[in-house]
Amino acid sequence: MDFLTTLSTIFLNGPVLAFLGGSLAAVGSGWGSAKGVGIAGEAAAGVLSEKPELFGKLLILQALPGTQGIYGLLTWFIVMVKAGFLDGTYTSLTTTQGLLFFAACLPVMIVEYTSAISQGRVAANGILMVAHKPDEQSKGIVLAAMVETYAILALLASMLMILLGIHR
Amino acid sequence: MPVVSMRRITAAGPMSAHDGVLHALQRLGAVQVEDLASRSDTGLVPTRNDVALREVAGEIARLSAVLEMARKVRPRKKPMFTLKRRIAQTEVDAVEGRERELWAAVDTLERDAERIAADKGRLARLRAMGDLLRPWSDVAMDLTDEGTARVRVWFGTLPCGDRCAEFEEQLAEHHPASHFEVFSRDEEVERIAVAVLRDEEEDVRNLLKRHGFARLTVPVQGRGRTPADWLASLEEERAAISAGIEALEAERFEAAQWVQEFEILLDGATTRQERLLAEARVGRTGSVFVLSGWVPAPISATVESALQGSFPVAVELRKPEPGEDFPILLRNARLVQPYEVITRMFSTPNSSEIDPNPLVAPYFFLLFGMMLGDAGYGLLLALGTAFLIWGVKVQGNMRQMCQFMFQGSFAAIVSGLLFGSFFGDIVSVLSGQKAAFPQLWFDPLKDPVRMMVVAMVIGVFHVFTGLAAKAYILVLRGKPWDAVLDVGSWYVCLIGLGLIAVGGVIGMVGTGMAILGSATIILFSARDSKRFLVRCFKGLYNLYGITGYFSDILSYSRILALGLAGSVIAMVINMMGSIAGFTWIGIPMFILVALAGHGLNLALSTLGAYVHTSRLTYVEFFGKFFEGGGHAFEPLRQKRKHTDVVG
Repeated sequence: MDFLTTLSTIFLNGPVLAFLGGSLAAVGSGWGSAKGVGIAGEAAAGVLSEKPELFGKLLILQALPGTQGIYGLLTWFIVMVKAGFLDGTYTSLTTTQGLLFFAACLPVMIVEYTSAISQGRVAANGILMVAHKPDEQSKGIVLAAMVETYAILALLASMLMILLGIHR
Repeated sequence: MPVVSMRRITAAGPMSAHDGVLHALQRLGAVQVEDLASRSDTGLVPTRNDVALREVAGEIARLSAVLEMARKVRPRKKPMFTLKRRIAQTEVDAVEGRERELWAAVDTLERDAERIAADKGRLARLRAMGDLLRPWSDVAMDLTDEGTARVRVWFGTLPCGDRCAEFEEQLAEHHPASHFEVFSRDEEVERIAVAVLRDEEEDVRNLLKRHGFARLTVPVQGRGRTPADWLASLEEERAAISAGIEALEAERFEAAQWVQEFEILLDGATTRQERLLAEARVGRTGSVFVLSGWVPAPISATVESALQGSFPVAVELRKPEPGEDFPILLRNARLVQPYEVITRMFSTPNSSEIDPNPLVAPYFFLLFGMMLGDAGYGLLLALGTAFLIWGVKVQGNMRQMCQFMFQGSFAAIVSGLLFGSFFGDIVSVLSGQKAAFPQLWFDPLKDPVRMMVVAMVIGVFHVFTGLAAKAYILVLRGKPWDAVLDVGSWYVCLIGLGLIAVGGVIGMVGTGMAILGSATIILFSARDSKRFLVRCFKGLYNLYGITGYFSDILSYSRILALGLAGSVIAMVINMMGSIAGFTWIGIPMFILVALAGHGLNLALSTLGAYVHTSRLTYVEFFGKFFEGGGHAFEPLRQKRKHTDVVG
């Protein structure tokens, strides 16, 4: 029992939980974006071997699933500021507050990850469409942006929870 | 706001005037020729010009290929965006007068390209032969020589190292009357010759085989001369071919000087192709042609008098009949024009609706600016797009995109002033928190709910504008009651719901409006159904569509998210840059981080603002009223890619 108590005092305290939340927000979204941009990039590289002149158009489509990573970084930053990791006031975080930070990061952790991958798939198919019809690039962009809506909603949920839901 | 109205134009005349009329129409560039020839109900036959069309297509293909070749032969620094050259008609005439000479140059370029390629192939073969032969150049006899009646000679290779030495030993031991010589060696093989008496030939052959000997295979041309002689003749041949290539390249360089002339010829060919395609749509009998098409109403009279003034033709103009589809030409104010590219990407409006661009423009401007949301980024974007528009003079879709971004960047600057964002918080960071960029309204980071309300209020206006456009279209189509029952009911219902939130007396009025509106929807939205109960149930289902309106409005919360994302990432960049403080290392580091970081963030924020403003326009706004599916007006005109004829 002693060991478990020690473990819980080390890990289950406010600062660690908040830190973990911010960290995992950056991990989930960055991971997802890396996959999404990768999926789209593979498709783009294939097309470019045949039609190198489409580079500019395809690059934009490839970049679309990258925004999730930015939303994760954004969430991480807000956690850093709000929890006081930047000005050193984090020591006063209670365990409950830490848990709240962690919970507030959940939408970003999970939704950014999955939406970036889905968006990468849509973007990859958009890239194949552009290969056949270069003028239809904006349609591919808008289709991919439909997926991003949910990444934005998750970001909003996390951000509002952190900014408004946690009183310090 | 409606699209430019069109007139149906029909012209008939004797075949003698046919070519003149088509030329005149192409110069005017104001008439879209409809297909009359392939319609079976007219009794007219099409003009057979497949041969001419094939010819001109061939010319276009050859000229395009040769142009590319000529540009490679005489490379010039390529500008980032190519612009059309402006030329005078006299220049076109001069070029067309020299057509024979220019086509000869085309022939030369094509022929020389083929010859040079073939010669280069021959050179490569010679080089390979030389590489094979050179290590043997010390041999003073024919490499195909197999010896005399008494002596057998082999030329070939042995793998380097122990096996070669071992072979030499064994040869010397068992066949003392033999000769062995190494001519050259590299990392892998030694090139050797072995001469033995014919009696011992079999033994030595086996010995060679055991040691990995590979016989030299000599091409037939090498027979009867020493490698050195042969190499010399190869060298002569190579020099001759190289001189030939040089001559051909000089000739080609000479022929490639006519790049600009080829461009004019190519533009002439594409213009001719355009005219031939229109010609194929003109119907005719033995001696008369009939042409039918659309012309914009404002210039229809000019076209009519231009045709009747110069040719013996009868021209008739009429309004489109109700329900008849006509091609769509948009005419918008200069400030609105750039947004046409956004609508065009979605669809071209059809002939029974309005041109949505004047409604798209103000909201796109506002939404784009708020999503970019930073005065510094707005300033940079304005400078960048201004350079592209007025400096580089980009054309086409690219120009329109630059123009609406240029406009939007001013909204971004205003938005940055209102919400206090200039490259994020670069002012406070650089001044050590002593000064801050002015913030005329409030800080969305401190009061995000307020920002969200602002975003959604804009959303309400956007959606209501879309609904109003729908009502307007219904009235235009002569269905004012549909406008009241299908659009008015939603207005009353949604505004009522909004008022309830205010509370008090106004809230009670709101409750009444919401009830009135939803009752109208339940009772009248499905008025096609005859049976009352079915109608009410369908109406109830339509009322469920109210969730759609809520999700539409909520969708505008992305303004808050994207605006914050841009400025907070800018803050992160500033923070990272200033980590080393204001020291000799810190200042260059800040500059470096700021340049790279803000550059990247500007690109991503602009892309995000463009993409998500488009989405709000396409889904939330166009979803309310825009049908699209129209065809853009494509008149018969001069189709020129490289040059514009002026004067």
